[in-house]
Amino acid sequence: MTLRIPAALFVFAFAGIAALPRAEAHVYETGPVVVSHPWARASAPTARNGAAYLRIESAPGSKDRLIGARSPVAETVEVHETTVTDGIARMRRVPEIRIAPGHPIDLAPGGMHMMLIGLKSPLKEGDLFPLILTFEEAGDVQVDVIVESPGAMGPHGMAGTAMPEHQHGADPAHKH
Amino acid sequence: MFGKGIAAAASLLVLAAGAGVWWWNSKTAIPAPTSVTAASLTFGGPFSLVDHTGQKVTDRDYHGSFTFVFFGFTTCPDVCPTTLQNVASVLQLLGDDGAKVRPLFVTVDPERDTPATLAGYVTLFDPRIVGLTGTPEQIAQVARAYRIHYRKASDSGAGYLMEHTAVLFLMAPDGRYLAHIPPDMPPRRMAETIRQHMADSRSPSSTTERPQ
Repeated sequence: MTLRIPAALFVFAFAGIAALPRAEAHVYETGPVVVSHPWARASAPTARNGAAYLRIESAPGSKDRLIGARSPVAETVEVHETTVTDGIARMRRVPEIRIAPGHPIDLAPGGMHMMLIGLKSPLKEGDLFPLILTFEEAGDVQVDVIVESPGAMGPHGMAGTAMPEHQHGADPAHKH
Repeated sequence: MFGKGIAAAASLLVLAAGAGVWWWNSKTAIPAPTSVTAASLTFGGPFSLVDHTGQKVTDRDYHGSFTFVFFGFTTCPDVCPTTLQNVASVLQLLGDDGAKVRPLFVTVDPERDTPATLAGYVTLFDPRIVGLTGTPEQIAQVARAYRIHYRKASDSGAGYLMEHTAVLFLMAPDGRYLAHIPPDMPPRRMAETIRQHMADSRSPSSTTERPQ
């Protein structure tokens, strides 16, 4: 007995998917917390640690705290902050991040990053891997992290990679 | 009588403070601005290391090219990849002149960064970048020569992380120090700085002092 699926159903499904704004495809919302554009850098074959970056903001009227993170690609995940003071680069663990409305937190190269400690296998450009962020109020938020090039400075199409003429930051067309 | 004692004590205090400041400066190893004469504060010098192909090298192996010397470690996922990417961009921006510059990435973590580890890391960014490691003593020697501060820091599940001077050094083809470049300088400006030094070295009217 063959199952005949009405063609109309396909059309509806396709239209539904096509209607999703492209920018929304990489934004995750769990109640009061919005996580956008999680991305990571590809790692060397022998690299022990990797870095993932993303933006976190809270909806109006709510605030929260990021208190943990984990991922199947690494043994541990911790937030670290890079500082360069008097020419000396240091990384310091950040135990929690407070999120308040109107103050998005950007984890970006040179600043804070999710350090993926003890990678189980190299992160390859083009891969996608799950990262679970734990918030005090919102609980666990799972996101899919896109792996960009090893020296990428932002997610694809946004802050740009090594383009020498475009070091200034996020593409204005994608500001939000 | 009392006055003489106080004056003596005061001068001793000033002397001690001066010595303390000098000692502190030598420990923190902040690279000097380029206006300081080479005779009073030099960077660079002989080194004996192992490159990422496992070959033993010395500083003389790189004479004849400008070298771009900088320090880092491969378990660093944030600053070092950014710096390596900037260096790769600089090489691209230099075009044909890129062949005259050898970027040397020296590890401050010789215990974990073997030649193979370095090879996987530096070649991700540009095949022309050379990774250098060695024994802890060899690394200590080259770090001293470039006045590089480096230290194990440990506050995470990552084992230890290295804090280290993040500045880049431009050295002339004869091994002389030319300039230091902050790690956050945009690649375009880094390339301009290198081009300027290349032009200066070619200029017949160059008045750059040469050490005897």
